[in-house]
Amino acid sequence: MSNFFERQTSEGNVSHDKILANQKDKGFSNSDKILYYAIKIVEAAARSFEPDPTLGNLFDKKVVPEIRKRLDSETNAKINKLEARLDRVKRETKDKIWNLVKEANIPGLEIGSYVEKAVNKIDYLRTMDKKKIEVEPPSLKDRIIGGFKRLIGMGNSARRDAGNMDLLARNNNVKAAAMGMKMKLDR
Amino acid sequence: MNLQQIKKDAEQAGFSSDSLNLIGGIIDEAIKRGKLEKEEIDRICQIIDVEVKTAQVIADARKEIAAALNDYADGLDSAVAQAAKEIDDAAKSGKAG
Repeated sequence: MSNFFERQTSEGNVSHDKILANQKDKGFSNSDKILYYAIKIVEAAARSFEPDPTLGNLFDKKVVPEIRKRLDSETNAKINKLEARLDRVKRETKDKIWNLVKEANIPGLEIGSYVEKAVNKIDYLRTMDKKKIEVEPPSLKDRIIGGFKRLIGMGNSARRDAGNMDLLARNNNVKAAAMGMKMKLDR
Repeated sequence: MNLQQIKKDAEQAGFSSDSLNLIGGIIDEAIKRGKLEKEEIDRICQIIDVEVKTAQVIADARKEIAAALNDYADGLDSAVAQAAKEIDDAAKSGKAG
């Protein structure tokens, strides 16, 4: 059975590296670089890095910049666009909440913690579930591969987390609780 | 009006800590006096309104984040799928090793 770094072929298990090296002159499309360099980086990371409790930092400071350097300009442009979009959402969310608080003009109400919470949540989502990477499986290699798979997919759990279900539930809870409280206060 | 119950409701509503502190402070004062004044009720209602509005802002922001991540992930998924196909094709071509 082939592992993550290999493919099963009629000649047995062959590394992706070897396959790609032999195909070098055939001119791969840009898209192959994502997987190719992903494999290279994961291989290098699995070989080089000692187990580190702050694997999230490692991804941020070493692995991700390495990947970014090696990705083609089109992919990097997409990442930049995504980051700009998330930055905008973060900035606008913060502004909107501060404006709501300002307009409400309630003495003593600043909702600083609410803004922080919201902004932190956005930061959490854009870091692609680093906390889960940090606490997950025993093998460093597995952890890195698992982390990288999340990186490639931008984290299904992050997407799910950002999705509608829980936020709608939370929003409904707040609304329901607010209505209930107002009814009691009106009595 | 059961003031303790209203305080408990606020704690369970998922409000921000700033709002909770403020509502809690107002109710604590009212409990000492044994009565919640009209102005205090109005202020609590205002805080609740802000909470509901901010919850909606957060919900909208998270929807947009989800959409952004989905757009990007779709692009990457198709790129990775294409890369995997090319590697498979290369392996099948028999020139791999």
